[in-house]
Formats: sequence, C-alpha cells, structure tokens
Amino acid sequence: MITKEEYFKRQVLLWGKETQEQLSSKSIAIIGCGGLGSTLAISLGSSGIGSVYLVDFDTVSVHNIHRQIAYTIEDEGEYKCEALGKLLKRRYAELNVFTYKEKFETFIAQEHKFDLIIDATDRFPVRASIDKYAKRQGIPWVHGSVEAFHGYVCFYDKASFDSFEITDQVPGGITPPIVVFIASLQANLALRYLAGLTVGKDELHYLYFDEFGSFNHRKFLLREGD
Amino acid sequence: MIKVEFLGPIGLNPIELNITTIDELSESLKQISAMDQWIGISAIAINNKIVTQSEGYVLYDGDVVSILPPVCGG
Repeated sequence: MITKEEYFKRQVLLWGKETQEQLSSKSIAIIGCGGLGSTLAISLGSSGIGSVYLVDFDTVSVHNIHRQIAYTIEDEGEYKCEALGKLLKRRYAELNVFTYKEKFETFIAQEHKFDLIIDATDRFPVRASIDKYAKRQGIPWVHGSVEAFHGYVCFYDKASFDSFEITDQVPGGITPPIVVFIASLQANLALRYLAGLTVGKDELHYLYFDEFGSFNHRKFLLREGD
Repeated sequence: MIKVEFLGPIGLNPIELNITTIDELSESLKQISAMDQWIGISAIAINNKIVTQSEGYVLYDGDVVSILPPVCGG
C-alpha cells in the first residue's frame, strides 16, 4: 500500500508535513481540459490537494493530442474531462475528481465551492465570465493564454480582466512546449497560493520569444477593478 | 519624448513620439500600416502599468509605452 508519506516525500521535504496536510482541504476548478488544462490537472492533481472540478464540453480529437498531453490516441472521442479525470485518479487515487461535460455558464448555474479557479479556456468571453464569477464568489483565479511562441499568465485577485478588448478572436497555430510552459507557470502560482505561500497578485506576465529568438519575460501591474 | 515599444509578434522597432495623451498615441499608431491588425485589440501599458484608453491618461516626457498583443488560445 502506498502511503502519503511516501508519495509526497519530496514535497514534505520542501514545505513540511503541516503544509502538505492542509493542502488536502483545498479544491480547485479547472475550466477547460485542453492544452493548458492537461498540464494544470496533471501537475496540480498529484500535489495533494483534495478536490478538482474539471469542466469541458468537448471530446478528444486526434489533432488535440500533440499538445493536450493528458490524452492518447485511445482517448479519441471520449469527453476530455472524463479521460482527464481517469488519468488523475490513476496518478493519485485519493484525489476527489468531479467532471462536468458542459459549458462554463451551465457549470456556474449550479452551487459550487472551491478555493481557486484556473482558466484553461481558449476564448476571451469565457475569461471575462470567469472573472465576474470569481469576483462574485470572492475567490481569485489564474489566467493563462497561449499561442504561437507567446502567452500571458496572471493571478487575478482585485484587478479586473479588462486589459484587452473582449473579442471573438479564435486561437491560432501552436506547439506543445509553449502550452506546457505557460500552464506550468499557472500551476506554480496556483500551488503556491493553495499551500499558503506568497504569490504576486494582479501582475500580468507576458512571456515571448522575440524575432531574434531571445526569450523575454515582462511583468505589468494591473489596476484594481471598479 | 515618449518611447513606444511593440512586444511579441508585433515585431516593430521602438519609436519615439512627441505626444501627451493616449488619444494622440492612437492617432500616431494608425499612421503605421503594420499596426492595422493590432490596433483596437492590443493592450497598452505605460511604465509597466496596464492602462485603458478610457482613462484619459496623460503622458509625460520619458514615459515608456508598451503595446501588448492579445493571446487567445489555451
């Protein structure tokens, strides 16, 4: 039998038994189970947090699999949230996984309670809805967006999601490494927050490769919402 | 003078403008044809702080304006 002491040995080495134990009372909602959602769910689902709510109405297509690293060819046609949920349970059986094969607006029409929402969507209007919902619930959310060789990450607390126009823009071309990279930063912010560590809030991180191939990380402060 | 930098895939070299408002900035950017696809959808930061055009922000000599492209996917 696998014990928590054995499973989380390296994390306890980092932040102690008490912090590790209190993580088990935390719950998160991951909105979107595609590219960002795959990495977020895998890295956070096996961190020792108690519950994960997975929300996505879509099914796995072959053209998803290269960058949506939770899925294999055998998952084609299956609902992403369900395939992802099965993987998370295989990685850490004590995790409570709740799956919702529906749009975000349908999901929030029901009563839920979690500590943090994580954006793994691919549309601006959904992100604006997440922001409004999070403010109503009084909880923070972690934004992530990624395309080509650039992406944004932000831990939204007081600031509003109003830096960009809410357009009906659709995603462009993308490769696996940048998706994993952006989701990893989101997951780091999320886990630090859930573990009770300090987190830089309302800072918009912009990460990109420039025309010379140099990697850039810029950080911009956001204003508080009205 | 105000320095304007264009981040990510916008890919333009920084420019300097003699302007004092965001409205003047918008007018100046409209004169750059390569900016056509980015105007109206990009975010604007002044001295590393995001602003919205509706704020009527005043620009001062030495300010650095950053134009940030939108990113949609996930």
